[in-house]
Amino acid sequence: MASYWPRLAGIAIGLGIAVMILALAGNRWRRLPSSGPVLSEHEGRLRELVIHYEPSAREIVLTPYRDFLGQLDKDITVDVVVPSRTAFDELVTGVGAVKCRLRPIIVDHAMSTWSRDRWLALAPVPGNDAITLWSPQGEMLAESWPERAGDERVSFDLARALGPTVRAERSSLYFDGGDFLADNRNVFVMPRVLKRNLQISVKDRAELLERFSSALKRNVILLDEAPDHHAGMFMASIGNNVMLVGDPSLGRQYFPESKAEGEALLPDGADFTPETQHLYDAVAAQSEASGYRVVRMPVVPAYDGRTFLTYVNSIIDSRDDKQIVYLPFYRGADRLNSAAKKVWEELGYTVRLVDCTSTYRYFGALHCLVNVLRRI
Amino acid sequence: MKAEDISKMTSTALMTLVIVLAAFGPGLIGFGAADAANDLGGNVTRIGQPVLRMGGIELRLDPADGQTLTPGDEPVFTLTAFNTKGKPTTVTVETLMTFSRKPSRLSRNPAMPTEIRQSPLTLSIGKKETRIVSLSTHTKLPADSRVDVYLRATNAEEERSNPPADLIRMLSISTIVDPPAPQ
Repeated sequence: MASYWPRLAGIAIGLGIAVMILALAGNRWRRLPSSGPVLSEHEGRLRELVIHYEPSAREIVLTPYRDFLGQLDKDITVDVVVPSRTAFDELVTGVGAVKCRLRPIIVDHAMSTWSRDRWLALAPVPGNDAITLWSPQGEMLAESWPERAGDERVSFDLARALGPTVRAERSSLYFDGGDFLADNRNVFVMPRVLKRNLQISVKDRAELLERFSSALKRNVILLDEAPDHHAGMFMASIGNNVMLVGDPSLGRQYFPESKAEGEALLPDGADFTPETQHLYDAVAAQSEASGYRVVRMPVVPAYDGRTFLTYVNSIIDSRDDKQIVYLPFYRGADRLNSAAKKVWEELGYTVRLVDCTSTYRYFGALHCLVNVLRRI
Repeated sequence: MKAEDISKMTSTALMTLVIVLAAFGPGLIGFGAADAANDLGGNVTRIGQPVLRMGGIELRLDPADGQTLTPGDEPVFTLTAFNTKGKPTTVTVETLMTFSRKPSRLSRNPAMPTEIRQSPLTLSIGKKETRIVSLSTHTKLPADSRVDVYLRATNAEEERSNPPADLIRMLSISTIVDPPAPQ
């Protein structure tokens, strides 16, 4: 025993010093700070946004970015995730003069041009101003889609660049940011999230809903039936308990009657079938059952189930003196554009139009390109 | 105290310090980021092989042994059904296959998957019995696609009392050729 005492003493001393160091580290030893609820789609002024700019997608995004960024107010910061400084400079040149502040976030990996689906922003807790970017366990098809594999890292790139006021956490669940529609009471979740997670990351439906409720700190409503797309393509919660829900039958009234004009907009043809109409009506019915006043909005989905002429895929800025909506429009769909603008104006919104003609054939519009990091 | 003892004590203390800090200190690095699947501090469930549970039956799905799964092949699966209950029961199993083509690099989403539903299969299983059934899909695997295979199980007793069961993704097969790394 006598010969072991130096080793035992050494272990005791080493442990004691290690415990002191770890205790002094404070936050690092405690559980990571908790977060607040998921950001609402409509409540508060826009303060900080995130977009992606990948030069290979310039034909898709430069026009909507020019329209959108050019109309943003000067108190808004836009973080631009780019693969290089050259890409950022190209974007700045491409969008022209803007009042908002553009800030590059340069990453060293492949990336897509779609910001919305990469993470959800969770508000800070009182006494702490750190926004949490909650990102999924993995991106769909990342194993064979390099841009998606790179997208998995974006929330952490943002946290590294913008910390400590921005932090990132990875969920164990699979989702796209666009699978959620959140306001100040509820979060609507797309049915396909269930298929992505059951018996993969959760045992059953109840566990999935509980995990979302716990992380997002809102009442979680899983849609029973819905178009198989992201929520923002067919529904928008706009405040005062109003839910906008797309309506293909309304869209049909304003869609070009000429076959040639129709096919120019949607080469696969417009889907006005009863089966598709039912999916939109189901969303409207479930929204009403959840306590919302539903207002229908023209929408024209194509037969491919992915290409939509949609007018709820928008960004809302709630300012003290007015409600602003940045609203997509599509060249060649003038009657549809006018009808949709009228709905928003009758709801009290100031409409700022954004040309999304170059984006919708890639299965998204403005709301899909832009993620909101902070509102005040 | 001998010099030798001091030396032993010091080296042991240093080694202990390094080991403990290495084990517990990684949180010190990467301030503001937590690339760990902890769901904001909550517990994380790790699922191994998916199991579909319905009315006391446990169902598992595996690719049949000895087959290739390349474009043009018609996959065969092995369905294993175990009755955990002490009485015989019957279950109807629906199989859904979805085919998602390799997405366009610039798109927001993959294109809409194609769905093929196989004819429902009804199984009667004795108490505590395991039945193994071969499921031939008679469907050729497409090239450059991901194929997901879902099951849904129903039995008359559960159907009366519960809402429709959920589809469970049991396995995935990929025939996507790895794309070249971006330049």
